[in-house]
Amino acid sequence: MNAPDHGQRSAGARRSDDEWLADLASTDEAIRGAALVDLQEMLLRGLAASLSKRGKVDDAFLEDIVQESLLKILDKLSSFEGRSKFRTWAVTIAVRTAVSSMRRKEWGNVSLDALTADANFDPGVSVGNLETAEDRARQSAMFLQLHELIESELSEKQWTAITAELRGMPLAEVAEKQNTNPNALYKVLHDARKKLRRGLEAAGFTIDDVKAALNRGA
Amino acid sequence: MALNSQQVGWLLNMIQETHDVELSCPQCGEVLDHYVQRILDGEPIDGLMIQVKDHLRACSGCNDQFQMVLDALEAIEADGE
Repeated sequence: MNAPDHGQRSAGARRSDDEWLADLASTDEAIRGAALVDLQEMLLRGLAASLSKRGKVDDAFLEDIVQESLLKILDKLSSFEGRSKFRTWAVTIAVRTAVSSMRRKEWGNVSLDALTADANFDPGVSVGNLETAEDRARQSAMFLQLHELIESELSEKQWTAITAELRGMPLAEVAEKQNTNPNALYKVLHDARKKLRRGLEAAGFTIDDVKAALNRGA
Repeated sequence: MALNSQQVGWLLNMIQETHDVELSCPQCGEVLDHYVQRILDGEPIDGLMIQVKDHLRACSGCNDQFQMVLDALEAIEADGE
């Protein structure tokens, strides 16, 4: 990478990727400081817009998240591979940081046991607007089979993880509460879903039956 | 309490979107910036990126994160940066 010519430096955050990397790693405090301010402003603008769309904007929260994100970005700077633009890479880190923080705030004090203790699958539930008796019978038979599969094939841990997710708790939070890591928990869930899918297929219910139930307005 | 019909709908969606080989959420997160860049640049979604696409279709949490990244980048772009 050529040494950037500061006389012709791109203004503000309109730096090239090479300029971002050089400036943020610069030993010249003025250059590094200016790059950090630009990055901070860029992340604040992006996150404010993104979070406000979801009704979650709070200035103090935003500033904390951006500060935390800046530290992470600087820490990972040497691992930037250039498979995306620097801006995309940095914003992705900031969004992940925001999501983790929101998760802890929203779900940290929610008990996994309380959320899932009484969760069960009632095969009598009706999904979508079924117009014909045949449709209703087909769905009812599929749900009976699904109920049987849940009861016989899934472990308590698998069902707890599924119902927690269905009730909105993020997987990372479930993993933390179960003292496991998200990759391991994902495998537990994936195994559970495969059992349900294969079990339904073995009983003669195709994925088209599942889609049909969904397409009727679930 | 029994799962309500909306939650059962999500359960059906989970089953429908189940593949033999899938990325986990952390694995998806590791390459999300790459996927976003491909989308922004209109480049083909192939190889590992197909698994990212499948994961985003099945996982509402990761899909929210993906949409948030797009929204943030759009706002930055709109500001002329």
